[in-house]
Amino acid sequence: MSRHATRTHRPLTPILVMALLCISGLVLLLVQDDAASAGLGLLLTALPLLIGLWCVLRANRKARP
Amino acid sequence: MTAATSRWFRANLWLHRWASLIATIPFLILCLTGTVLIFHEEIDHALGVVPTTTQVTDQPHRPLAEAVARVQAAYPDERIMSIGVDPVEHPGVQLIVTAPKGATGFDDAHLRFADLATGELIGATNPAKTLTGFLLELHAQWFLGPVGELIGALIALLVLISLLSGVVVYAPYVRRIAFGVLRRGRGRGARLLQLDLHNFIGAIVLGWALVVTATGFLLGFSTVAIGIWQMTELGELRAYAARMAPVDADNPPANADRAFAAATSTAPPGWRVGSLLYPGTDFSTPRHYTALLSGSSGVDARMVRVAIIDAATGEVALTPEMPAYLKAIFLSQPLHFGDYGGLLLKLLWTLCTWLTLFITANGAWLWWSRRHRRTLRADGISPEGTT
Repeated sequence: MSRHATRTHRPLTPILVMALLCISGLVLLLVQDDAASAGLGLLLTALPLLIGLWCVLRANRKARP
Repeated sequence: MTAATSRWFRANLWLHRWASLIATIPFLILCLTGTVLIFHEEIDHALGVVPTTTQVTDQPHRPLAEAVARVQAAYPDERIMSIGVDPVEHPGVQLIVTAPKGATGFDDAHLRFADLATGELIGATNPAKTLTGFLLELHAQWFLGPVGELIGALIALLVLISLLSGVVVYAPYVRRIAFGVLRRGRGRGARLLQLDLHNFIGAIVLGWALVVTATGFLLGFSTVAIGIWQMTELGELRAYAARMAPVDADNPPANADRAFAAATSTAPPGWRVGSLLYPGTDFSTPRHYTALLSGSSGVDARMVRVAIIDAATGEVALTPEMPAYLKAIFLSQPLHFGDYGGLLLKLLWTLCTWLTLFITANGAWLWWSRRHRRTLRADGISPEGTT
């Protein structure tokens, strides 16, 4: 079994924070007028996916014999 | 009582299971058509739906009324419904919407194109008969018109319930892990891996999926919202216009260019006139043009302002503020289709759509698999090795 575990007292906090960051990114992209805000908006939107990818890669590495 | 056996948990589990299962097939169709519609601009461009010209945007153009007269001469059985210019998406092209004589709605509309530089007609299309038009009608209306839109809103509501109840159901199991877990290895069935993938991917796409389903739910009420606006604010204007002499809707005394200029004079900095609806349509009075203005960047590019132009005098009659419910629907469109942040956002949108498509399908498979195992157990057959 491979697990990327971090103990937390509020179980849903990381998921809800990621969801809120993604939503903030989508809104920032919509209201942005400059390239920097657009880049930040895109990064925030993609953050859950990037973290998900990182989790999978980390889990795979740990699972290797 | 543990979290996993509480009434609240079981109610959410029931909601998650049945809301998802009911929405599975329509949601699969929505995901597939939605994936194509993310790239509707690119597809329309590749298929040549809107002809292109070599004219640069700031070059002086022929009077708009010239192309209108050419369309009227070429299609004597049709009336002009609206004209438009879009220097960003279709530079150098004048868009002219026509419908059969006497029509007030856009159901049987044809889109005709003229070269702004010469006033010559350069093409035509029926928006409903293009690939993206066909898919949009399926995606947004299920080929059922406004009723189909409400069905779409219902599907979006089911998916929204499924997402929120899914978070509640996942909570007791995520207590010891931060973001998700993928359990694999010897002795662990495919079902466990699929369950972990379902939860893990669900957590990853949660924010995006909440936005897309909430905006999809709002868009399901777009025809209803426009109908309310037509009955209330436009209705009041129509009652006022009824006391005035109507104009010839085909050839109003103040032509398209005068109306365009009048509407442009009401535009705040950075705003421009995008469309001009002729008198006597579902969105104008028998006496007035309705001009639709849009901004050039940020939220303004997605919002619409209205200017009512007297078609007899060419003067601005009114610039009503759009109601909040219509503004919410205008803002929902980009947040639903993901066509506002360039190619990178479109690719991200596609990836999220496919991931959501995957968890929808594998969620249904998990339900079927569990049910199948229970049936086997009830029949005294070991389910091991069946998944």
